[in-house]
Amino acid sequence: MLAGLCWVFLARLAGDFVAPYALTLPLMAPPLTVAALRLPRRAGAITLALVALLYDAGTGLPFGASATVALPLHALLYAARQRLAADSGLLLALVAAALTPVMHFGVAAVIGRVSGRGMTDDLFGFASEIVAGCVLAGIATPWLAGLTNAMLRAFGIGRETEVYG
Amino acid sequence: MSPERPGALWRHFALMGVAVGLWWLLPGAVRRVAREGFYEFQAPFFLAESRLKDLRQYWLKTSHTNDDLIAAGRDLARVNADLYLRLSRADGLARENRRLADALGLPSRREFRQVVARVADRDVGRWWSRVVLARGARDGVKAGCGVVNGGGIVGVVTEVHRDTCEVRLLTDPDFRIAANIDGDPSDRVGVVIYTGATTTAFGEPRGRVTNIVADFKNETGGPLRLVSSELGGKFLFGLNIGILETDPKPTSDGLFAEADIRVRPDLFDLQEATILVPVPEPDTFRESP
Repeated sequence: MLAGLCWVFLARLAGDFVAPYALTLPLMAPPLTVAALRLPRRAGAITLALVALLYDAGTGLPFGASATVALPLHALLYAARQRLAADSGLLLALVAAALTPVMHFGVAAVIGRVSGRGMTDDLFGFASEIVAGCVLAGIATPWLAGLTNAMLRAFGIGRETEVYG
Repeated sequence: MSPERPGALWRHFALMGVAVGLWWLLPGAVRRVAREGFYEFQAPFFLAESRLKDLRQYWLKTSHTNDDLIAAGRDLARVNADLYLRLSRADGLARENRRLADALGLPSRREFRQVVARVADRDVGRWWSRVVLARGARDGVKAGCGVVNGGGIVGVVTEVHRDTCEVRLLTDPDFRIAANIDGDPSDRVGVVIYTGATTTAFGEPRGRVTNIVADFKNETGGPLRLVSSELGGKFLFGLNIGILETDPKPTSDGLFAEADIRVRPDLFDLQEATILVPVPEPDTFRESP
């Protein structure tokens, strides 16, 4: 949770940095990936829900929308983690990163923010977000996983969580 | 990693569905209180972010040479001299305006207290445009206050917290105000409606103006500017909103025309803004007991 709070703070800084370019970074991608691939199922779901609520509280999204969409994605990724080979973690991380902009898009469509004109005009923007999400996941996820492990060890909660990916 | 018991994952899915369903069935007030709690929990981080940006600016400025600073100070002194002159002229005009309004018996204009605030966080994307300002309820800010800066209108305060407030920017699709077209010599157009428009990634801030009379033609030759109207009571008259990008085009019903607006590009790079807090008017109509 503390690592999640650190992530939300860093994510806000990143969001602020890209604001002049009107680019929405899929900032829920790294927490989703870490929760699904590195943490036990229940702990991952609870942590992800809390981080999503923290994230929603500071954005224009309806409060709880990110958690509503991220939790099924978490369960799907967790199921994939159970069934796929151990070295497919990177692939799952990229899938999670690509799914996050789709998740944002779904929420925006539900709350009526997507007009037909906006969709066709901005396919480039949507593609940019998917690429940005993949890049962000590739760079930030290992750091967030490391931060989570360090905090778990520092607080004596347990050994490093299940190593995967 | 130990494999899970069969059916555990399905139970997890079901439990999650129930939790999500219960969440959305909660009364709106409970969700609002929870949001406020989560927001205030991370509010110190917003303020820390603002301080970090100030520190970055500070270190950036310390890298300037003394010659640069002397030149900047000299330029600033010139600008200040010009502004003092304009200010004294504005004071004279305001007095004259008040005298004429009193002579004509016009109702008094709404007065505002100006609260200058640093931008603590910016959240600008394709579906919403908002910023967090580092002033809140403790500074007397209220939901619905207008926000401006030297370039014109910035947005409107939507949520007020203890030390911060959230501002919906001019380009947010939910932003909507009454406006006037500047340079409409015969004042034929009257009041039009400005709404924010979806901003494309890497694109410029934009908006849309509707309710222009259908046969309106730009006779000025130059670009037309959209300015604020005093209707709604949130803003002063004549503040810049943007420039009409195209000549107004008639709508499908032919009654009105509409046009795209190019909002100034520095809106997404905002560092500071002024919140207009209305000063309560004296209740002149209250009868004595």
